[in-house]
Amino acid sequence: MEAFTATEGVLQLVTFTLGSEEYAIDILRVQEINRMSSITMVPNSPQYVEGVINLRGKVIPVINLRKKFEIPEKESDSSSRIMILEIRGATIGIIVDSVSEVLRVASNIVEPPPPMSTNIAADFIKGIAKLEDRLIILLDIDKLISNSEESGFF
Amino acid sequence: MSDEMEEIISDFLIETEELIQDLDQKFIELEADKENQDIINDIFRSVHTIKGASGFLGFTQMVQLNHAAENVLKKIKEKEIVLTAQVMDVILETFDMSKVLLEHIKAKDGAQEDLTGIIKKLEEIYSTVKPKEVAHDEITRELPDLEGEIAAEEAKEAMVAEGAVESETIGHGAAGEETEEDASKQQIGEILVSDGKVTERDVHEALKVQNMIMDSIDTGEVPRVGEILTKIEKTSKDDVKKAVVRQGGQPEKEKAQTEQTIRVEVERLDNVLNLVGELVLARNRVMRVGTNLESKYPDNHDIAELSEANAFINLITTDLQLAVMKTRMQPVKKVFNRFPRMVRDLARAMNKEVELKLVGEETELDKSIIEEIGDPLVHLIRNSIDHGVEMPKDREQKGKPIKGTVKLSAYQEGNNIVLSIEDDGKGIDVERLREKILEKELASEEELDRQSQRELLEYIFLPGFSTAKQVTDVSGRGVGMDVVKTNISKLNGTIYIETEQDVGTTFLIKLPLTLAIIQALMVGVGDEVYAIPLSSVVETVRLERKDIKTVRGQETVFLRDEVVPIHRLAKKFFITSASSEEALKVYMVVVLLGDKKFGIIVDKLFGQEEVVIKPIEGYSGSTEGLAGATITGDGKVVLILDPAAMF
Repeated sequence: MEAFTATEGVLQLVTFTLGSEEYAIDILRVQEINRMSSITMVPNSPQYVEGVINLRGKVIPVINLRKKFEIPEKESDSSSRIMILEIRGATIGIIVDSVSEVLRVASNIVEPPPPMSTNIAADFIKGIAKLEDRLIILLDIDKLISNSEESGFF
Repeated sequence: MSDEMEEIISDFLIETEELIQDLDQKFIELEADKENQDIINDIFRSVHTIKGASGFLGFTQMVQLNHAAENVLKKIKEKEIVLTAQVMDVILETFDMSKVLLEHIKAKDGAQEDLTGIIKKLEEIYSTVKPKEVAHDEITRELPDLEGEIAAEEAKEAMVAEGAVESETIGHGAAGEETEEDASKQQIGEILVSDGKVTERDVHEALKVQNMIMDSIDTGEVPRVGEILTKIEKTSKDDVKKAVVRQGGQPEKEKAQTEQTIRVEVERLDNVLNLVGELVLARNRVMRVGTNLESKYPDNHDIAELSEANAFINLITTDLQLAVMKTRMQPVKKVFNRFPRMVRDLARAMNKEVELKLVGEETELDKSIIEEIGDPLVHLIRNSIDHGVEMPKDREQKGKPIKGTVKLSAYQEGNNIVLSIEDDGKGIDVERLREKILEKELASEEELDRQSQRELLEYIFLPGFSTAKQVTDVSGRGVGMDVVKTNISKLNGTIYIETEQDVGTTFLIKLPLTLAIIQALMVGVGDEVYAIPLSSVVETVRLERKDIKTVRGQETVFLRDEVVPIHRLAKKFFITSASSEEALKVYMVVVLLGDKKFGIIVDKLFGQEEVVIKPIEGYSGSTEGLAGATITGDGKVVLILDPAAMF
């Protein structure tokens, strides 16, 4: 679990939802969580790039995770959030349905991803945390934005 | 190493770099005007300064090298050595080596270069002098090492003491200043005596030592009295330092006059520029709110006053912006300086005779542009010399002067700076170019027939395109021209070629004055707003549907006796818009790039705005036709189009 910061076997995660599934990202990779703001479309960019936003004077791209994971799209609502992450030196935003909580889980409950468990390409999945009544998918955000063959971005 | 030392070394690096840069330039001047004693003196002084400063800081190799060069220069100065091209080559080589050494010092890698070859060459030249000089030569030849040792040791100890007067030590070194130095020697001794730190005898002794050293070294750096006193342990370096500070307390008139510039870290200037950028955006926003309020409450006195204040802020911001811009402006001379040397070397290597003319060196450009424009210019100049200027005998046959001319000029044209590289060589063979285009299957014969000469010449900038029959190590590998074009486009500039067979070729580069803040025309397509850099906009026209004609599948407009191809922004960006083919009336923005003119069809025109170009994080492609983004008064992101990369 080198992509996650584990202190004495405890992982600190920010969890969010996309459709019916629950995901998590290492808390140290999340810069901030914002409400939806006006997004400017960028022509001819990869389809999962929703556009760019103004983050206090910085222009950053925003990725629609639903599009990236090929989950049917949904209009943004009052619980939609843009999570600002730092991926390989670039600041980017990801649109999620809602941000749930900050969670501390023991690293030993995280299991490697089972084959073909979800419709997300297994590349992005770092592991699955099994909690009492729920499953949380741990994302490897560095792999999220690595398709360098996509024009323009990254 | 202490911070103070670091600082002194970094000053030394900057200054020496500048000196060496100037030396190249001066030498080329000297070659053209061999009798000019002023230039020789200048060069001599610079080399002496470099040697002195390096010796002081303990850069032994630098001292050895420059010392050998200095000896030769001295003989040139005294007209005992004739300045032939061979001698020039060796001396220029010396400076190249100095640059290498300087890089080592900069990198702090402690690497040594093998100097025996170059020093031997210098000594060979030196030994062509009349025999009676040889004895003198031997004495001086012994010195660099000795000096280096002294300096290395002293650099550590006496650095602190010297810090306060370092500009004096490093900055000068001319013979004429000896008297001035004498005065200060007296003073430093006097101060120390009056402080009771040393006795008068000690000072006299130190002066004696200094005189001895001065007599034996005719060109070297003389240790200062303070250093000698410290060295012979008559006083502590702290005391000397104090005394030096006091000595500096009596300002020299000359010094006060020269202190008119200060060095500022670029980072700080960039920071100020960024802040001004933000200020411009905030001003735009305030202005917008003000205008809205005014139209809502036309009779409100307070709002009228607000508008007045706004107008004032507007004015100040504009002035401030201009002032900050100016701090970043540098004369193109900085780039041009390296070319005389390059042209000379290239011409010699190719056995051609080329004269480089520089025009408008004082023209100023933004620092970031200055930094980026060097490489493209190097390439174009090489190109002109390699492919443009003919061999002397060919030129003679054609009835041209044997010496070819390459003219590099810079001038301002409106909000742009134009750089042109003009040669009087053979010109580009357009017929051969055509063949080449066909051969490479870049276009069909039919297509080429339709194109103007200007358009044909554009093919030169395509990757992998080269018309040189032979590949030389100078140019002709087909890498380069496309890089030149890309680099210039990155700077929001354009390049085009004018050529005439046997008359010559001119490359024209048009660059914006500055990069960060531009005037833009805001246009609307569908729900989207885009900014088009105003520098490329010629006019805006309202069109009716019947004005648009389709020629060979390309929509065009007949605009004042000129056929202008048009592009629909909505189509290009896949936006549903009102300006579709069916619309009865649309707006067209006419864009001129180089001499390529075309229209961009948009739905709405919002007017002109000053925008700050911001990069989009993680976005790398200019291929998409975007130059960046900006943030408008209402906090929204608006994309800036790059018409050059778009159609």
